[in-house]
Amino acid sequence: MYAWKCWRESRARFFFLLTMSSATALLFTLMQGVRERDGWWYFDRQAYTRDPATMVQLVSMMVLIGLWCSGFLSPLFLGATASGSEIEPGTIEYLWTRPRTRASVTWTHWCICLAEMVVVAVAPTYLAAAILGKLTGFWYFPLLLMAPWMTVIVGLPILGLTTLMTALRRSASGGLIYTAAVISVYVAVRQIITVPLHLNLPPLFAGPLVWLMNSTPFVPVNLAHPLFPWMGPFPWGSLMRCIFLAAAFPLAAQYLLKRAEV
Amino acid sequence: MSEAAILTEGLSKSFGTQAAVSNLNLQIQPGAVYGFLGRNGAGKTTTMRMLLGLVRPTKGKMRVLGLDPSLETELMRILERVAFVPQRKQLYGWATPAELVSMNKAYFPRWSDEAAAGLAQRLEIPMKTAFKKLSIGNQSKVALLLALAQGAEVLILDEPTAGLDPVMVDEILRTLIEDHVSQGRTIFVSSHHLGEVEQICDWVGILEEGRLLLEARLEEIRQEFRLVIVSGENLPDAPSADVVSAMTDGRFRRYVLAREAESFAAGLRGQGAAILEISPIGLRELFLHLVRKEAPCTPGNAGAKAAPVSSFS
Amino acid sequence: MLLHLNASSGVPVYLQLEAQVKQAVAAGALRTGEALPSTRKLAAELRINPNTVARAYQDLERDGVTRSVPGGGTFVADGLPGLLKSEKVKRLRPHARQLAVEGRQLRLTREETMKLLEEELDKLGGQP
Repeated sequence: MYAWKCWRESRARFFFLLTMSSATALLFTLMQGVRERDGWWYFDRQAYTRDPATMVQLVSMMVLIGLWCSGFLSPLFLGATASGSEIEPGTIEYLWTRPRTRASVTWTHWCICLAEMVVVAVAPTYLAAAILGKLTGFWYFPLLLMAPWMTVIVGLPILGLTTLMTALRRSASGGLIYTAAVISVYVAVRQIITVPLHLNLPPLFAGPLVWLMNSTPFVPVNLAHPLFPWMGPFPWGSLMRCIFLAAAFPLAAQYLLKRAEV
Repeated sequence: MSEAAILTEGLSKSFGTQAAVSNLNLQIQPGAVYGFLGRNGAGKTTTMRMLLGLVRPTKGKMRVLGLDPSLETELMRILERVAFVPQRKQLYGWATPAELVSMNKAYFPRWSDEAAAGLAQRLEIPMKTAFKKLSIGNQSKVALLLALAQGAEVLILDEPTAGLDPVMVDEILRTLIEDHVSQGRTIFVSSHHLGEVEQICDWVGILEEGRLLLEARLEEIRQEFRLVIVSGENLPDAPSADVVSAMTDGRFRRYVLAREAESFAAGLRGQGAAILEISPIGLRELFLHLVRKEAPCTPGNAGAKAAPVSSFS
Repeated sequence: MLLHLNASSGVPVYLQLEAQVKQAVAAGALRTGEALPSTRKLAAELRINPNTVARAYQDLERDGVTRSVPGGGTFVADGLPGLLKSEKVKRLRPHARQLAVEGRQLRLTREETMKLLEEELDKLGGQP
C-alpha cells in the first residue's frame, strides 16, 4: 500500500540520516575519553568520572549541535518524496487513480516522515544519553532527553514546507531546492529588515533550540526545586508558531494537490 | 434501457485557448467494447483522464457507472470499480513487478492472484527485475497486468498495445476477450492498431481535434458503409446527410456513405456522373478518409482542410 | 482449429464464420451431433468480439444448420428435416439467380456455367 511505498522509497535516505546522526552523536559522546599514549589511542574512563556534571553538559551541547543539523536536514530530505513529487516522473497517474483520496495520500506520507524524523532524532540522542549516563554515572539530563522531541516539533514546519514546495514544483528536486531557497531568503530578509524596519521577525528554527542552549546550566543547582527552576521562560510562542505552520503548510499542499490537474 | 457504463454530455476541455475536447457526447453501454480512435493530440487521452478525475472538464457532464468523477467521494467509488492503463505507463522505478503487484492488490478486494499469476506468465514479464531496468514493452505489460487482474467492471485503456510485439498483442486480445468481454465487462479502449480494434470492438468513435466525427457499430461499418468513387462535372460536396466524407482525388471524387449507397450512386448517375466503384470500406480507410486533411474541391486551395460532413448513425 | 478468419476480405466476420460452418457441414467435416466450440472459447481463440460469434451462431440456428441445447452448447443439426422441399428450393434460388446472372455478364455459355457448378459439387464430396 501507499504507506509501505513511502517507507520503501525513503528507506535509503532514512538510513543515511540515521547513520549520520548516530555516528555524530556517538562520536561526540565517546571522543571525550579518547587519549593518546605510547603512540596509540586508548580510552580513558576517568575523563568521565572526574567531573561528571560538566562532562554531561559539554557532551550535551555537542550532541545538541549535531541534532540541529540532522533535525534540519531530515524533514528536508524526507519531505521531498511527498506525493507532489510524483507528478513530473508520471507515476501520479497510477497513484491518483487508486481509490484513495489525495488528502489521505498527502497525510500518509507526512505521518511516515514524522515517524522517520522521530527515529532519526530520538534514537541517536537517547543512545548517546545512555552511554553518557553509564560512563559518568550521572543520570540527570532532562533537557537532553527533551531536545530530540523539540527538534522534531521544530522540524515539522520544514517537513510541511517541503511537502508544499514539492506540490508546487511537482518534483522532488524542485521541492527541495525551493524549500532551501525559501528558508534562506527568509533568514536573510529577517536579518536585513531588523535594522531599517526595526522589525524582529520570529526565527524559523532557532527559537526552542536557542532556548535549550540558553537555559543554563543543564544541571540544576538545587534538585529539590520543583521542575526546572533554572530555565528561562518556556518558548511557548515559538512552539505554537511551529505547530501552526506544521499544520498550515501541509494543508496548503493538500489544497493545491486537490485542485491539481495532471 | 440499463444505465450507461460511461456517459458524457457536452463534455469540453480547453487548455487556455486550445480546445482539447469539444462538446463530446458518448454513451457506452455496459458490456460494450468501444474503440476510441483519433490521431495523436485528438483529445482521446484528455477524455479518458477527465473520466478518471485527473483533469477537470471546462464544461459538460460526465458519468462513469452512474457516478460523477468531479465529486471526490463518487470518484473514489468509481476508482474501486474501474481499471485504468494510462498512456504513459510509468510506475515506481525501484519496485519489481512482484512488489508492484502486492502494492496494487491491497487497494482492490476483487483482485485475483490467479489471474495475475497467469497473466504474468503468458505475458512473459520478468517479475523480479526492478521496473526501471525493464524494457518499455515490459513496462507496458506490467501496467496492463495491474489493471487486468483488478477485477474491474470497466476497463479504460489508453493505447494498451503500444510498443508491444505481435505475439504479446495477440495475448492481450485473447485475455481481453476471454477474461473481460466474455464476463460482460465494459472496455473503453483507444488505440492506433486499427486492425485489432476492428477485431474486438463492437463500437467505434472517431475523434479529431476534440470533436467526435463519427460513432458507429463496427457491424454497420462493414455492412452499410460504402466507398463510392465518382467522376463527373459539378459534383456536389455534401449532397445528403448519409455522406460521411467527400474528398477530391485527381479527377475523381471519393464519397463515403453511411447508408443507402446504391440510391446515392443512382442519384449521381442521373446527373450524368460515372460511378467507378462502390465498395465496402474497412476501418483504416474510413479513419483516413475522415481525418486526413486533403485539398477541398475548390481549385487553387490545395492543403486547406477538407470539410467532412459528419453523419451520426 | 477448423475455423479461421480473413481480415482483408471485406466480408463481415460473422458471415465468414457462418459460411465456414456451413461449408464444413456440407463437406462432412462437421458431422451431425458434433459440438461447436462455445461462444466465449471461439471468440477468444479467434480474438474477436463474442457478440460476433453469437450472431453467427444465432443465424446458423435460424437457418437450421445448428441447434442449441438447453443448458448450453451448440451442435450440428441433422440436415433440416423440418423444412419442406419447396422451402429449401426457395432458399437456394437467390444464389442460383446470382450464379446465372454473373455467368451471363461474364459471357460464359450455359455449359460452362453448369460445369462450374458441377465441379464445385464434386469438390464437396460426401452425399451425391
